[in-house]
Amino acid sequence: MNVENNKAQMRKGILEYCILLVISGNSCYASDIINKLKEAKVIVVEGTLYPLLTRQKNAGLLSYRWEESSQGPPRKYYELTDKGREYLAELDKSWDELVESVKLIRKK
Amino acid sequence: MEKSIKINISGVIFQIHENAYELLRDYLQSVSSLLSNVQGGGEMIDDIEARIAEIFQSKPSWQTAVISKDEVEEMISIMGKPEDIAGDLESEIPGGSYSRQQKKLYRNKDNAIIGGVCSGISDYTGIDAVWIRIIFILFALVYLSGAVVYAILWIVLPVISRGTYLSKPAKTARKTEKARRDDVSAVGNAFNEIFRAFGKFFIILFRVILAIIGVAFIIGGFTALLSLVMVLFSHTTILLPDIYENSVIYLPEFMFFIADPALSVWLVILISLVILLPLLALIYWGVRMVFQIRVRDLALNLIMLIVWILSCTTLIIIAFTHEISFSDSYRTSMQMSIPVSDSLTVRLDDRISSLEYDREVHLPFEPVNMYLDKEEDIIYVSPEINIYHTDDDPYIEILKYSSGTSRSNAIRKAEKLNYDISIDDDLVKLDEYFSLSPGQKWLGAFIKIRFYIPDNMIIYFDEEIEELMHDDYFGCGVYSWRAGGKYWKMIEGRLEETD
Repeated sequence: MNVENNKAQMRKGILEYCILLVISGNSCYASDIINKLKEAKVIVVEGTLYPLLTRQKNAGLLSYRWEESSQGPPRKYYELTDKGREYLAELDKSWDELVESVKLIRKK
Repeated sequence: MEKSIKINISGVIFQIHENAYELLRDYLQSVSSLLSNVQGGGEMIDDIEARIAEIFQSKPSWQTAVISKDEVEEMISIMGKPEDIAGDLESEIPGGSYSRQQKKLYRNKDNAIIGGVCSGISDYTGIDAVWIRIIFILFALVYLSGAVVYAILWIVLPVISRGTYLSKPAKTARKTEKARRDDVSAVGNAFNEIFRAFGKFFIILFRVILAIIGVAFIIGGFTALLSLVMVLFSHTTILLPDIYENSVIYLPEFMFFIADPALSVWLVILISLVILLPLLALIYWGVRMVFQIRVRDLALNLIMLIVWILSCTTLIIIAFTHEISFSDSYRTSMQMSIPVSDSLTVRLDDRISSLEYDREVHLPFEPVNMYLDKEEDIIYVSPEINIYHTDDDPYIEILKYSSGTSRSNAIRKAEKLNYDISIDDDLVKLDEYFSLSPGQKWLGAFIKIRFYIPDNMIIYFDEEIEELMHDDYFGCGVYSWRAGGKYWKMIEGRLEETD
């Protein structure tokens, strides 16, 4: 057993939830999401984000639109779909339950 | 100084050191090789590249500074190693429930030997590229069917290559390729080497042929360009100083004879465009082929093509609306009988030297000398005479030629040609020129005078008449340069010199 590995697994587990959370606030583009997630220390390297975003988009949780940018090429702005919002609500609930479970166990 | 390269990442141009470029390239290639088999992989790669561009752009001096290897390493540490990026997907690929279904057939340029068709099929089917190559070669032996199918697939299939994102000639696909090749069995490996060698050979051969064609294009283009410029636009030529002095036509001058002065400027410009543009294009493409320059010049090419097509169309429209047309040519024939006698003398009557002309033009390759009197707006042209044998009484045939927009138009124009010829007993007097009606432009108008002489008749051509013998061969066994100033007797269809 490796504690680092375990920590990484835990982070990975909540990463998709965190991404949906970030996007649910405001439509944002990849760098915004990255900055938020880095701030919260849930990701270490940025590259991991892209497969997740693509997967969520393919699952119909996200959609994006192109927006012109003053510097460089146009950017993709992501936002939640209705399905994404439902999905997020489910995860919210599940997270609360998890926290409760851990709390409960810790108290003992 | 280190070599730096200009690259395009996600639409942004960067200047990058060569070693940094190689690192970046290898990085992108391994990322893309891991992601390209996954659904939405292409999109992911695009997103990742956009982000990489952003990371480089976040450096305060990115517009002036050259990206170093350290900066690429820093970027990789931010983005994460290829395995990290794909790490999450690894679990999906084997199951492949949805990623397999929508896989597309494409050409894989990264593993290509010729066009990447086989490696593309290999990616699609999972069969090693070697076997697919063998199949193609076997079928190529059967009436070239393999080669044809290959060519079609080459054209039809979209290409995938991460290399194309970095606009430097593909030199380094080696690392990922090596990694892939290690998986291949020993036999496959050897086959791959052979194929690769063949591929290289053909590519080199192709390039050599391309270069040869390119050189031919350049040389041909330049020669044609040079000679045309000289022929069309300059009185004196460098390459052909004296010999052709009289046959070199000066295009703007010639225009005065076939069109209104106001129009002639435009005609010259349009004709130049129509002729010179393709030659310039030829040279341009030649240079590109020889030096293998790859530039995005679609817009330039299109503009040139449009300019050329417009010039052609305008030229045609002008030609039609102003009745400048050589399309339909026609001739009228008229015969004048000569009184039957023993001998005939032919002299020149009105001379060109007595005309007050302002411009003159001598068409190359055609015996047409033209003179323009600007004040009267009359064009004079010198006719041509020849001699023939006849079994009947002697006569002169006058052939009048003209072109026009239609047959009737051409006939009308030919009939209007004004030529004086007088027959007075045994003396025939010819003018050195015929004239067009005032204001009429020259449209291939020409007159041929043919003397038909029976046996035993003696004919004398004055020395000056030689001016009208444009043809080297005068007829009946006599050459033009020795025809004048002598008495000739027709004997059995041939002219013999006599006293």
